[in-house]
Amino acid sequence: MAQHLKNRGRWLCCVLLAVLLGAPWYWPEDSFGWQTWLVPGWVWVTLAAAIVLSALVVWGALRGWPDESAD
Amino acid sequence: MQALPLQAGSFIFIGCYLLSLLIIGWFASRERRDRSLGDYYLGGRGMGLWVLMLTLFATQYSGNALFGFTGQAYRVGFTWLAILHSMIAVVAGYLLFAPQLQRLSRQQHFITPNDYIEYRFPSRALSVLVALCLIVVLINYVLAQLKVMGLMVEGLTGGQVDAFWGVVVLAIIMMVYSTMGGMRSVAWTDAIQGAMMLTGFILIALIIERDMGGWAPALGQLSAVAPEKLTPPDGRGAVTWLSTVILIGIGASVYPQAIQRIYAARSSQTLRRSLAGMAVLPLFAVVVVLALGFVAIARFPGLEGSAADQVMALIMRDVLSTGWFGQAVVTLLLGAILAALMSTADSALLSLSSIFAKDIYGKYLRPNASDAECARVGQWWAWIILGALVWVSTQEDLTLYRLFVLKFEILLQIAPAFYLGVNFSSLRAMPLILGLVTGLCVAVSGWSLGWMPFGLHPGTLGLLVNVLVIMIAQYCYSLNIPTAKISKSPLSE
Repeated sequence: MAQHLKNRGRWLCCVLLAVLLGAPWYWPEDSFGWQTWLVPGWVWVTLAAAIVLSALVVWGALRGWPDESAD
Repeated sequence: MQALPLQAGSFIFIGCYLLSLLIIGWFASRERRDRSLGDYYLGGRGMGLWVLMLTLFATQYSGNALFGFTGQAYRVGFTWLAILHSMIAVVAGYLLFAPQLQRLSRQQHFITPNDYIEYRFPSRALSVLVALCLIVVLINYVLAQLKVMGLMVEGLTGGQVDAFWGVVVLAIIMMVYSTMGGMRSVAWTDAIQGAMMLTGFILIALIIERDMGGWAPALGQLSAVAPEKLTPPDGRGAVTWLSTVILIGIGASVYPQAIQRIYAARSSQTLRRSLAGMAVLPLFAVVVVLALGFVAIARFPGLEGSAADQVMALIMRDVLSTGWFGQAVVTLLLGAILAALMSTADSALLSLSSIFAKDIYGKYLRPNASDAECARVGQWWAWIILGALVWVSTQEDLTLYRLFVLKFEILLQIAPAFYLGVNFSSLRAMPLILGLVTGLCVAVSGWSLGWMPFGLHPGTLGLLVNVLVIMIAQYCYSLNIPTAKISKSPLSE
């Protein structure tokens, strides 16, 4: 059961990742387009999404990996 | 490409670096424990954390990353930030199949990616199809690296050394050390190259800030020079963004040479920690590479098409003019770029050699051949194929990005065999074969016609069709064949 839940959690993470990766889908051309420091706001949002993604993947690698039976 | 004004010291450094590769190859050959395929192609399955992380990094970030990514950032602007998400997605992709694959590879002594396919789906047709796809992809991969090597040699010497002869010399050095030490020498040189590349990026970022007017003013000029490159993707652009993430995120995670590094990991914990490190590296490496491309938009306006792939060289020229420190940093970076190209090419060649030796020669041409004989034949095959590719690399006229994309169109179609094969024990071979063939037809024909419906890459469209066909065929298969007649999947045991 625990293994099953871990697998579910892993697939849930995948869905979350996909949503974050696909963020531009939900950006109309004029939203997030305001000029902030140096570059438009949408660029900073994209970079922030990349940092969140990276943190999720690190978590997935170190904690969320369901298959521990190898060693 | 114009010659970079390098001092003699820079050429001596690069010469010493090339010599050190041969020495590493010699040391690696002394570390070999036996003549088995596992020892030669997987380094005895003992790769530690840092070497594994840096060799995976070096495998993922090749000449395309340095020249192609910067060039594409210059061409399309900030919408190319998609590549940052894509490179993180590659590691996310690994997490979906690498742990199980690594466990199986230790139990079943896999050498090539195809060993897993044969174990999981006992179907000769699928195995041959996947082997052919991998060979095509690897040939394309090596070709792309050789192409950039030629450009680089011409650029460094101002055209005094012909690209062909430059590539010949580099290819011979590459083959000598990889023939001597196999995976060990390739992984060790990868590790050095990865470390050099990361150091070079950090230093070049510092120099732009300190000696070249700074990042902020350079980026600030963008809105005046090229405002269209600051706009977010529109509807079609958003589809292309997501398509790029799928194309590279899934495609790069099934690089045959990367899968062999998964096999070569010392333990699952080593692999896990290496992947965690890999997930952070794009935030430094890719961001710096892209930022260089964005800065170049304002600094070197007007470059079109494949000329944009040379913006990295133009930036290095500017850095060189900042003094002795700039000279040292560019030299380090040039060494790292050269090493990136060579290590990526040698990894792909080693993988190509193993597929020929194990999956073709050892299985179909001489089934009773010993491991030592297979390894020897693989080495000769690598020399022959490299010779042919060196010649071809000087004949092609494609931009780097186009070469980069072509291999993903094919890789993406074999990804379901790994992703779905590992996670769904009821999946059979026939649905995979049907999906693979359909997906390949869509991807390759779309690529050759330059077709991008709704902004989707042909490879991504091929993958969608591929998965749809697999689902339908798997459903039909499960309806038509009585359960008792379906052989049990090895994964469900």
